[in-house]
This record gives sequence, structure tokens and C-alpha cells, in this order.
Amino acid sequence: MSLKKTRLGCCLIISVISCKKDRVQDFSILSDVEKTECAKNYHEISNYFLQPSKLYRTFKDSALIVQPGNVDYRQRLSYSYKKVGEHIKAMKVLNKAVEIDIANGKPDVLQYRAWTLLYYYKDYEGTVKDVNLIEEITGNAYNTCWGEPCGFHKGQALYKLKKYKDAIDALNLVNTEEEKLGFDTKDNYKIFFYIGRCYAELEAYDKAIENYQKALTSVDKFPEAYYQLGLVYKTLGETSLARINLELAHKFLIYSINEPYVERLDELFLYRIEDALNDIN
Amino acid sequence: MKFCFSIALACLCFVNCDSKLPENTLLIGAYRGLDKLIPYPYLLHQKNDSVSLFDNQGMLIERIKNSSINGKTVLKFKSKQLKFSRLNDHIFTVFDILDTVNFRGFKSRAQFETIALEPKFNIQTIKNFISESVFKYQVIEDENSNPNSDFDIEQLLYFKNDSVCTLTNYYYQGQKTASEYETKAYIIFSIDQAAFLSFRKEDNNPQSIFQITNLDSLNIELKDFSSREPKTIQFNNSLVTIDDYLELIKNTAHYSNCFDGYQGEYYYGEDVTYIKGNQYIIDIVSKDAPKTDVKSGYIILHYTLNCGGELGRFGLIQMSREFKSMTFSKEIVSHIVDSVRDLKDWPTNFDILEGLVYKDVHGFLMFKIENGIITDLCP
Repeated sequence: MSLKKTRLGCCLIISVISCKKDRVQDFSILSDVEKTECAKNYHEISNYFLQPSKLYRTFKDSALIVQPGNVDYRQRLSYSYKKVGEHIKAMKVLNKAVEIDIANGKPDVLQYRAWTLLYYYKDYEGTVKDVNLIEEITGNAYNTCWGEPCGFHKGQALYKLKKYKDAIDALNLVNTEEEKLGFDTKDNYKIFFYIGRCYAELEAYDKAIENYQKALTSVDKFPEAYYQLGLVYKTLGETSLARINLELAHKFLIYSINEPYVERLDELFLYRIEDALNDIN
Repeated sequence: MKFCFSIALACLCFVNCDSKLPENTLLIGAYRGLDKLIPYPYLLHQKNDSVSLFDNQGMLIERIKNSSINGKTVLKFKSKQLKFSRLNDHIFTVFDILDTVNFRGFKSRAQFETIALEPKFNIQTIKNFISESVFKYQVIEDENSNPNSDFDIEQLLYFKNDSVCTLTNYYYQGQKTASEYETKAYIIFSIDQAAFLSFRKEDNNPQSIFQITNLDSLNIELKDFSSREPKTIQFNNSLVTIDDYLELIKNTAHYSNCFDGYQGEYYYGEDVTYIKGNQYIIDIVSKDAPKTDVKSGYIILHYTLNCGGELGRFGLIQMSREFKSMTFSKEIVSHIVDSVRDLKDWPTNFDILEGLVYKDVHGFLMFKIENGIITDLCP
């Protein structure tokens, strides 16, 4: 067994045995490479346990004692608190990660925070602020936040802030930038859907219909789009078209934009379709 | 990584591996599972020439002669084959080789702890004592509890002949904000010099065993081993009369977990969030909401959703828009709690995530408040 492995093994043994808070070990004897390796080991052991569990947090904390500047581990630790609703702790950990990352000129954790502010905390002002800061750091108008374009998040946040024209601009900008990158923006059904939502709120119903239909061009099982289309037709007095679209929303309800962790903005539920259908019958 | 982890585990096994326990030692089963704690209610009694296994009613399951417990022991009972590893002087982890359902891999190990033999109590004296009064327990939370920082949780317990009724009250700023009660069977028994209180529900719903460590004219003191850090708790004689207690119960909703061990999280498995979604809840809760606050922030109401679609085991955390601790008025907190408890369309009999054992789910509703008005709901 190499000396390195022995030292790292010892490091782990120290941690497993000394999980109590008052027994923090001195890791200064390790070189930077060894610290990285040791922290990685704690991190990987942590992943062996359920994310919301005490042991997951204990080993993540240990990794951060060895390597306090590791924003990836810090961000992951925040999930453990966030997913079980311990949000004061979650955001304390996440904000520290953002602070370290930004100090290093990186927007990665900020990109995650923008996502989390929008969907978890419905903090629309915070989302816009974070996306603007991301654009400032990267110098790019197009960035991705946790798998979705940051501009899409900004657009949704502006929509919720009732800044519909700004929201439309932000959402259109996503399409423009993606076209520059060679993407086929016809697939951006959620972008078109929220542009449609903004136009509907602005009572520009023709444009709302146009955008909902664009959304349905690429995804025909999109109950939220059918539902909103139904509401627009109902407002316009086109009862027959309203009913057809509401019934399609009902038919495709199992394909709603839901996900396990959060309820999406404008996610559709059965009672809303039933209420709308009752209104026109 | 696996290599290092193995070294660490092997090292744990070698801590005083061979040293035997003193004669006449009692060990209490605390829990099984390292990251999802489930009560493991058994007792082991090592005597000079034998080891006995008891269930949570104090009934002898089996005695093995010419055996003793150390860090290498494998105790071969007919129903259990317990392989021991020693963590330290008084804690052993145990793997039941015969139970391939509950013991699957290192993480599922159970934990036994040696216990101090307290002065012998007369079981009948304890039974008489606890059946004469209503006891109050100021709940000490642990890792089995739902997240909570702002509710003071108090339980009132009334022990009848063979069942105990537990009324749980949730106080916010001194005001009772919610209550629930449940009834379960209990038994008091002794093994050698030690006395125990254990509860009982369905066979597949294991309940913890508490050691009775002290008794005086007003209080009963117990040691609770159900979480990673054992704690001493006290049932204090309350001023509530039995008649008043029964009256309180009449006006309280019943809530009981379907499984008192590990509970799932709302994002595991099947969707267990409110069937009608967040906007419906906002509409209901906003109706008649008091306008007593002009503050902004979040009120997070934690709960357990049991397999019957009922809510209980509440917790409360409040925070500002800057994610710092803060408080809202009693009126709005109380209104939110009452309104949420009135919601009926929760999922029932939901499928659980494969590989995890749970029946109830922990969830939370995070109300976003702007200038005293409920504007959003997460997650």
C-alpha cells in the first residue's frame, strides 16, 4: 500500500470515527493534491447515503473542512437541506458557494441559484438579478442555468412580475441567440408558451394564439398550451374552439409540465379544466 | 474510494474487537439503517454462560448457552442470526444474516447499545404511578423529527391499562396552533434490574423501547435510543385532570403515522403533492387571511402525509426574503395552519420508491408573503 493511500485511508478513518462536531481534525499536514483527494473521498462516501440524511451532510461537511473552497460540494450540500425544506440552512450554504464562485470569476453556482430562486422560492426579482449578473460575468447574452437557458428563467420571472413586454423581449432573445448557435428554435415550445402567456395578459389575443400554436407545432401533447388557448377562445367568444382546446387539455393532462421537485409556473390541474368547461357549458 | 472506505470500516471492527462484555450486561436495540432510522426493538441479555434475546414486550425469544458478545460474535438464534461488529465500548452494529429483506448491505445494519442497570423498579409501582395522572412531555426533537424551529411541541400522555393516548400540541408564540392525538398499546416490563416502556402498533410497524431510568413522586425519566444520539426525556405530572384530558381529545383530530420508522420525502416515487396544485391552496388560504402583518418572507409549514392522506407531525420555519430567520404574527401562522389542515385532496395509498421502506411522506408548503399578503406557494 502506498504512503499516499495510507494517509488518505487514515484521513477517512479519522472522519468515520470522529463524526462529533467537537472533534475537527487538522488537515494541514496534507498537500493540496492530497486535500483534493481526501475531500473527494469524503464527498463520495457522502453520496453513499440518502441525500437528506445526517450522514450525507456529515461527510459533505467533512469534505468542506478539508477543502472549503470547493463550490461543487458546497452546492450539493445545499440540496440536502433544500429538498427537505430547511431553507435557511440551504440558502446559507448556497449563498456562500455563490460568493466563492463569483470571487473566482465563475458563474456556475449562480446559474444554479437563478434556477432555484425562480422555481423553489418564486423570487422573481432575485432571478432577474442573478441572470443579469451571469450575463455580466460571462459577457454573453446566452447562458444556461441548470439545463435551461438563463434567459428563459429571466423571461418567466419578468412574466410573473407582470413586466410582459420585457418578458417577451427576454424570451425572444433566447430564440435569437439559439438561432445564432444553429439550434432549431421551433422546438422551444415552452418559450413560445410563455410568450403566448404574456400576450394573453396584454390582451393581444391574436399574438397569444399564434404563439400557443407555435408551441403546439413541436409538442402536440402540451395540455397547458391547449388550456390557455381554450381560455383565449373563451374570452373571444369562440365557444366551440374553446371547448375543443379545453377537451384536448383534458385528454393530454398526463403530459403536463410537472416535475418531482417543484410545481412549474402555469402547471395545469384537472379542476381548472373542469371549471373552464363548466363556464362555457 | 471503496478501498479507503473498507479500511475505515475494518478499523471500526477492530476497536476492542475481542474484549468481552462484562457479565450481566443488557443491550438495547436502537434502530436499523444508517441513513433511514427504523426502530429495532429487541433486547439482549448477556449472562455468565448465555445470551438471551427478548422482544419489545420483554418476552424471551430464545436463549443461547455457552455464548458471549464481542466484536466478532455471531449469535445463531432460530429466528435471527446476529453478526456483531463493535463500534466502541458500548455500541455494537449488528447484521441479521437471516433477514435478507431488511438487511441488505452495510447501510442497513442495526445498532445495539449497552445500558446502565438502574436501581430496580417495581413494575407494579410504575404501572400504578403512570395510570393516575396525565403526563406532559416537552418534545425534544431529533433527526427523526420533521424540520421545525418555530413550534414548541408538547405532548400530553394518558396511560390506561394497556393503551396510551398521546395528545400533541403545537404552540406558536405561546398560542396553541394545532393539535392531534393517537392511541397505541404499551407495556412496561423489566429484565433483570432494568425497567422498560415500549409501545406497540401493527406487527410491521416497529416501535422503540425506552429504558425507565428514574421515578419520583411527580416525574418519570426515560432514555430514548431511537436516534443516533440517545437522549433523556421526562414525562412530568401535568395539572390536567383525566376528565379534562378526555374532553380535549374529543375536540382533537386523530393522526397516526402508518409507519413510525423512516418516512419518504415528497419528491420520491409517485407525486404526493396536493392533487389540485399550489394555486388552489393559495386561493383557499388567502380567503379570509388576516391582515395583521406587513412583513415579507416565507412561512414554511412542514408535515407528514400518512398513507391515508392525513396530515400531522407539523413543523414550522419562518424566514425573510433574505433567507434569515424571522417571525410572522400568530394570526397569520394560525390561519395558514388551520387552512392547510382543512385541505382534503391529498393523495392516498401512494406507491413508494423502490428500494426504500416507508409508508408516510414528509413534505412542506412554503408560503411566500409580500407585505402581509400570500402571493405564492412553493415548491
